[in-house]
Amino acid sequence: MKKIATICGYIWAVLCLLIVLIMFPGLGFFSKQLASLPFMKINPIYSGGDVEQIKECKNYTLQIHKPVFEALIGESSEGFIQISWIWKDSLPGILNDSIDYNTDGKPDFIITVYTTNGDIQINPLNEKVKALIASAQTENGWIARIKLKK
Amino acid sequence: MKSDKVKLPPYTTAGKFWKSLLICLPMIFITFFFLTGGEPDFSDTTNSIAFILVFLFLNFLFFKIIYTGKTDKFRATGFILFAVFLSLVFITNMVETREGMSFSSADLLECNIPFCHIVITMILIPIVFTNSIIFPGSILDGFAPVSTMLILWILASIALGKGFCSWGCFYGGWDDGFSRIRKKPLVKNINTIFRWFPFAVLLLVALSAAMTLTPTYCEWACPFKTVTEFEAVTSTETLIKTIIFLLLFLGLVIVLPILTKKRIQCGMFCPMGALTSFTNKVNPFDVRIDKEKCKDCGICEIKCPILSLDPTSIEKGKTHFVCSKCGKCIDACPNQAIHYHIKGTPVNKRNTTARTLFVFSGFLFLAIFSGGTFQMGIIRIINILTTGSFF
Amino acid sequence: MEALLLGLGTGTSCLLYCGPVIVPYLLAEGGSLKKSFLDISLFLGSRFIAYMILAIVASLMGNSLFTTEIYRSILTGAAYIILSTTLIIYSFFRIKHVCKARKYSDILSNIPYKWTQSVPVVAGFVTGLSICPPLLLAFAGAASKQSIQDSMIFFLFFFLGTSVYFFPLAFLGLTQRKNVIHIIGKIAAGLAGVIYFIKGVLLISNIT
Repeated sequence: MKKIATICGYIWAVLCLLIVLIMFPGLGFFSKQLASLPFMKINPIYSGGDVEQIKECKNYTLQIHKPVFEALIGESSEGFIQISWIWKDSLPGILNDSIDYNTDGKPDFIITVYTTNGDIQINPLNEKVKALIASAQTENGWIARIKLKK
Repeated sequence: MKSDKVKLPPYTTAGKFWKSLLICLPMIFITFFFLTGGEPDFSDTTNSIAFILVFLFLNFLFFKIIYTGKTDKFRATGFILFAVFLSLVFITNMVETREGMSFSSADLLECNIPFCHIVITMILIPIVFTNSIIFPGSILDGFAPVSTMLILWILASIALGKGFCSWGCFYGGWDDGFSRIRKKPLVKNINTIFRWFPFAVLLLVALSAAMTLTPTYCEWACPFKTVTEFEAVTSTETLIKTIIFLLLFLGLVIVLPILTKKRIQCGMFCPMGALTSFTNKVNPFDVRIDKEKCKDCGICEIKCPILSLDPTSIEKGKTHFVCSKCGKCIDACPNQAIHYHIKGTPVNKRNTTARTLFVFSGFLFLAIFSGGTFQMGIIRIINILTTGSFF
Repeated sequence: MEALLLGLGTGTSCLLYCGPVIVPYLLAEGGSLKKSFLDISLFLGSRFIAYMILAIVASLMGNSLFTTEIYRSILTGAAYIILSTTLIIYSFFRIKHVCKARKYSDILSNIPYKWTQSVPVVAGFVTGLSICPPLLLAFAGAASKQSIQDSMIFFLFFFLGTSVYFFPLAFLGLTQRKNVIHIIGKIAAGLAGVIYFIKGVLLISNIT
């Protein structure tokens, strides 16, 4: 019994050494395999949620994301919606878009972005739309998150 | 040289040059392969200098580990420099790409934040409930994506157990380094109850992250933001966060390790250390104490940087399960009673094979993981010395 | 029925919001299932009192309570600081393990042991009053009721629905290697106290 335990111990120890050896050359492969698992996705609180509507405008593409009401279990009573603009050629001075995130045919809010100084105005047309919670200029566009109530 | 030989531990390789070199040969080939990326190219002088320096440095350290039979001093040299070089490379990268050490709202909204292994402690409960990762990083692309860091930690934990904290963690070298500055500690007799602190931090961090779906430790308590990146100070809240992480770095990573000669951040605060401790249960390597040789002098207990030795564990003939296998106690024991051991194999004797297998695995991980960083760091240093710019 | 379903539906969230407070305490106290049940009952009892107060306020003030600055910042912040003080004192109470802490522990040892039972009472009351998504929903439901009585009944059923999830926590008191778990629980309670103190100060300073 002791001999078997000794042999198993050594085999396990050598396997550990092999794990270190294959870890780095196989890192790309293992990472891809892990990334393909269903839980390997960034939570919408951080990713902004899936893009639900795309509008092609003259100077930019407007992306309206799915509203995010994430909670550990179920849904939160407060959430946000992410709006992204992607420039086509150059940065427009002012962006002014009416957003209908619940696709009921009526705009829920109007958002105006003054790209020169970063000012953003929200004009809520739906009582569930609250205030701007985050915004930033990205390499080729602009992102804004607006607080929503359920 | 003769007097050295007398002091050498009774490993079959210790003091035997050719036998040690033979054991080092695989390390020499493997490091050559990884440092050159499998395609040696010596056309660029700076790159070649960086490669040669790193290759020689790493193999010198490993040779010394085998030849002298001493582990900790040479491991720590590589480990500490890895932490310093990683910060150097990371910060210079940040300065190049973001013009400073702080990340912006755009980086957060675009999920461009590098993932580090400590975040794993916070994503586990949310993964179960939300089926997603609560971190503003990338799953597969960019620098330090989630999947790569997860794989690295999982495999390193299987192969080294908590040895990851002394052989692979790119933060651990900071307090390991500061804990070596003084010859003798000013604050002695640290109560071993503090070894449970990281578990309490882990409990709170895991619960609070699940509760808020935010990586709370990263946001509020991670001292290593001081040497990597942090949120830009744009409000009173971010100012308070900045003060907290700076104070934690100053206290846990610099001042307390200097005063106590212990790795305070790693052994008494880091939630990842607590989580990684459990991997010691599945890892085949551990550290044992030969009760016949042990004279209960207590030197190992004083030397252990993370409180994994106390009279109870010495009585049991093994280190506590929080042991990070740094080898400090093994080197310090005047009676050579402490040794690396493979579970299942006979105890109570210094076994060259067990030691060689563990230090080979540990050092190989450190060498491959740190090699690129060392090379990059040296290139940056050469650049700043010759051109006045890091790039 | 609506309130009961709301409680059952959001009870797990309640559990998570209260987890950092009650879990360390239960781990630290442990001992027996009976003791853990008693502690949870005390926690839920004081939480129930907090809910009844909220029911009365909801009926009198409507939904405006949670939007008032005084409630959102000063009252909640003060409650957090009281809770943090209780948790920090508790973490030092009758600690015989740490030499430096023994000094404080000796001072605290004059206080009867039953004092520790005030921890779940304070924790239950403060977490009951603090704003979390399930409570916001319950408060909105109670505020829509016409009388104080209806509002209190609404909160009673909401309380019953959420409480179901708390009783399994009593089994934390049966954890093995108790001494170690007790130590971790006590340290975690102290650390949670520090976190709630910072949270309280931030709220009062109206930063968050």
